Amino acid sequence: MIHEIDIPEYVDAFFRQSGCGRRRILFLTFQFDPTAFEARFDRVLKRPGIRIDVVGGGAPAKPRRGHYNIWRANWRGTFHPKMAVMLADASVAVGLGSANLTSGGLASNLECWQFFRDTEGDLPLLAAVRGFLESLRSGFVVSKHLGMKELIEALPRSESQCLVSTLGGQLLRQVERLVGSGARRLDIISPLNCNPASVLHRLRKNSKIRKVCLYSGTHERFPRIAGCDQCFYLHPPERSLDEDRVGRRLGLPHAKMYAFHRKSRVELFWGSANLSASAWVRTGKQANVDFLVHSQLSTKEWIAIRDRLPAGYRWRAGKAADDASLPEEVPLEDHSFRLLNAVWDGKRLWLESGQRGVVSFWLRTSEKSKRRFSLKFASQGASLNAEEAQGLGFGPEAAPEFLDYAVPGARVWDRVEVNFPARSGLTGPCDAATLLSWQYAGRGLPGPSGAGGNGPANAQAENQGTLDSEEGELTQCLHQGALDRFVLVWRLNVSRIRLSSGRNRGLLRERITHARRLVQGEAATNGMLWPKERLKFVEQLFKDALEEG
Amino acid sequence: MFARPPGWVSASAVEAGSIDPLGYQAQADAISESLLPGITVFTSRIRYLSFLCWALRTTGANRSLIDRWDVALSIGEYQRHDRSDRCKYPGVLLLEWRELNNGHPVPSRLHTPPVRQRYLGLARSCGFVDEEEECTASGEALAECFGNDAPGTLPRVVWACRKMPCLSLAGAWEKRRLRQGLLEDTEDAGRRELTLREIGKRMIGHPGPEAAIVLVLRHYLRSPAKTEVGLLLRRAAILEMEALPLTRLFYYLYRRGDHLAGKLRLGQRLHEPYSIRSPNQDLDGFLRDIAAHLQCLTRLGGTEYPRNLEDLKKELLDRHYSAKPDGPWVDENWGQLRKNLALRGDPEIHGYRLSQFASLLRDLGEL
Repeated sequence: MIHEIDIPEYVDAFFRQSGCGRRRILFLTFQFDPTAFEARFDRVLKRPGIRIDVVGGGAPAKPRRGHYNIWRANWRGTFHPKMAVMLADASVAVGLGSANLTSGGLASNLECWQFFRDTEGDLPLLAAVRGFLESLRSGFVVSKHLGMKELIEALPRSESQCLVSTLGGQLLRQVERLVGSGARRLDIISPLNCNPASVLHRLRKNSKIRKVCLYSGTHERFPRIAGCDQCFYLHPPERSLDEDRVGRRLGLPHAKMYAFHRKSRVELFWGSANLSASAWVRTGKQANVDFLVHSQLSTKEWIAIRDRLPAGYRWRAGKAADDASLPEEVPLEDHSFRLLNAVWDGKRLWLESGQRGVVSFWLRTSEKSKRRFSLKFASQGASLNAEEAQGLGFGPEAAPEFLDYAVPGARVWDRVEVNFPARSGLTGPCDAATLLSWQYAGRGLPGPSGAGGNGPANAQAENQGTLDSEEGELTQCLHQGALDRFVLVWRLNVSRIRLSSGRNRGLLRERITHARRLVQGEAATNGMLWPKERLKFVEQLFKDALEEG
Repeated sequence: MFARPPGWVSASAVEAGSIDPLGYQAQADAISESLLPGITVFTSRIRYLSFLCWALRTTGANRSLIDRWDVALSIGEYQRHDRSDRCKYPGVLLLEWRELNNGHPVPSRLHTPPVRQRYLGLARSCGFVDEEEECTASGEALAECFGNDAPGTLPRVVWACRKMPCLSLAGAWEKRRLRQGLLEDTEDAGRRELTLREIGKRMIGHPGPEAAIVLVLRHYLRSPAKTEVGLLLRRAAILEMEALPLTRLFYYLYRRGDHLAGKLRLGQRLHEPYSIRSPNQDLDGFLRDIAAHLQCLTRLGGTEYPRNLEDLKKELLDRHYSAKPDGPWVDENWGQLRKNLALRGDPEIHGYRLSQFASLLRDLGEL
């Protein structure tokens, strides 16, 4: 029996089991539907202190409820990976597959997916994911404000070829190198958006494959595809769905799986790459950002996966139809200016775009706040200072949800979401210490009365009983002076950072760097709060933590 | 070293088409049709009517060709506005799902059924298209306007769809023609005009459509109706007095199973019609609100429901079984027969297509 994977359920269980602490999840997706996402990840969104980031390939869409950041990838082609990276303190899990964060991806389509934990057997895959994320970061494909480094540091470091991606060169060549020339047959499960004949031709020619079977679509009639010997389509079970009250109606087969049959085993590549030239043949920014995971299994195991479909569906042989055709793929030609991300960090408004050089455009958050700016975009983006941002309605503790922009002469305003990633659901004014407490424990700092400060009410209940001795001391100390409290608060925060990083020194270093930046930022804007001795004290705590770690 | 092979992603938590367990939708739809004939939950863009007239004329009413133009129009809107609230259009959700990039060819199909079918009723109701699906004189005039902005040939690739005219940018003359069709020229238009006058532009243009309909219905609950439209709105107000509390109670029992016992506390005054506390936060308050609504319903001359909670639950089940005879959600003990059908949030009152009407008027610059 092939197990079915409930993505939101797995994510929720991961965070449920991990308890409170530093918790993050990063989704990479092509399409993003906030409604479907918020419905299915309802419980994860309600857990306090989890930082949730969604990087999408399409234009970001308005979040309706819950606190999470939406980012847009800086990629001229199609940003097409589907991945979830979860982090709880120092433990990590990665989900990979073909499912977008849409209602189709999370529910109705036929999608493939697998989760991998930081256990012995999965380490090579996690290491390969690390390499993929490093390429995204170093190539500025994802925003520098995303905090990707922390996730990268949490993943193991080693050489691994479990995962191939278009960021590492042409996908076709990488797969051919791994498969070699002994494959006799190729089974492909993939949606078809355009004619894959050129890809099939190259796959057949280089790997000397004798037979190619394509599993795609839900209609019996297939267009004739050169290089494809047999086509199959998804067919519902014979019995009426009404008889089976809990029956599931599958939508499109959206999984992407490529099974190369060798003598006794199957080299299976699965993941986000469609059967298209953009995924398999093109290179550089003309290609999609896609990956394929390499698995090896017996022929019997592969046939079991391929044929035991959910809800009793099965594959049926299709018929080639002369009047049906698939369109040819054409290269991209879109060069218009687009703002990808807007990030407010409380002091500066950072704007990111795929374009370089000086761009003039209008910005507004409401009709009244319309202003024209001329900014120079470098690889890191451009920024507006606090004063300029204030004119658009940004304040130290709050930011508008959206920013509208238009280049002069354009008749329509485009929109970009504003992320405020440091806060991740924290409301009301707070200082660096409270922010860190929220980020590492999902609750504010305990006061003399034991109240936890900012955050949802249930944060207290969820984390009761997990106060460590330092937090207990801070809670019980009823008559503490400001300096005592400062010492206890920062000891507690640094302890949390150290404990949450476990034995991972890279992770600890990254987290300390983040905390240090937070302190320095606050000290720069509010010197009264941070006299030299206090800065020195916290710096010493950071150094001690790094040495102990 | 190799990775473990994948599995299949498991089923949805929410099944499509799972609303309306007690069958109130049909009654609400009938009232909506009388209030705003021709308008449906899909008809939110007035300039689509210009497109439809133009497409009928340009293609010689060739349906498949119209649908291909329609796909290009959808992609153009999606590229310009994505899923912006300012420019809602049905194709955008499907386009997200299609995963098209700029280099992809324009798909031949997108909507099922095509948007053309969804707007034809309104186009007829506005007098732009006749029963034979041919443009009338006013439809021809609209087609002429739209044709001035439209490209000469059907876009072949996704990026070229940007050349399709924007649904938000109709000219003043085109808007005037569209307004006449929507509010003046035909019998249906007259009815829509009456509804607009009765409810008022301010209320229809209320920034929160859900809040607007609640305010409208509350008004007609209190004041005796003087006009035909007023009578219809009062009917809607009474219907919601029954539909909202019972649907909320049904959802609660469906989600939690039958853990409710006792009596409904009657004698409560209904402070705020259509406002029911959440059972998760205040179960007593929830039951009190339900009782107050049902009591008010009886006073208004609606159905009288049992005061005993057990009998009310039985009544609910009866109503549910007659609404969903082929696929009930629960058995007689409130055990789930069909999983995960409930909406994510609490059910709200029906919208009576006011938000779609507001969207059409907003496109015309009336609001």
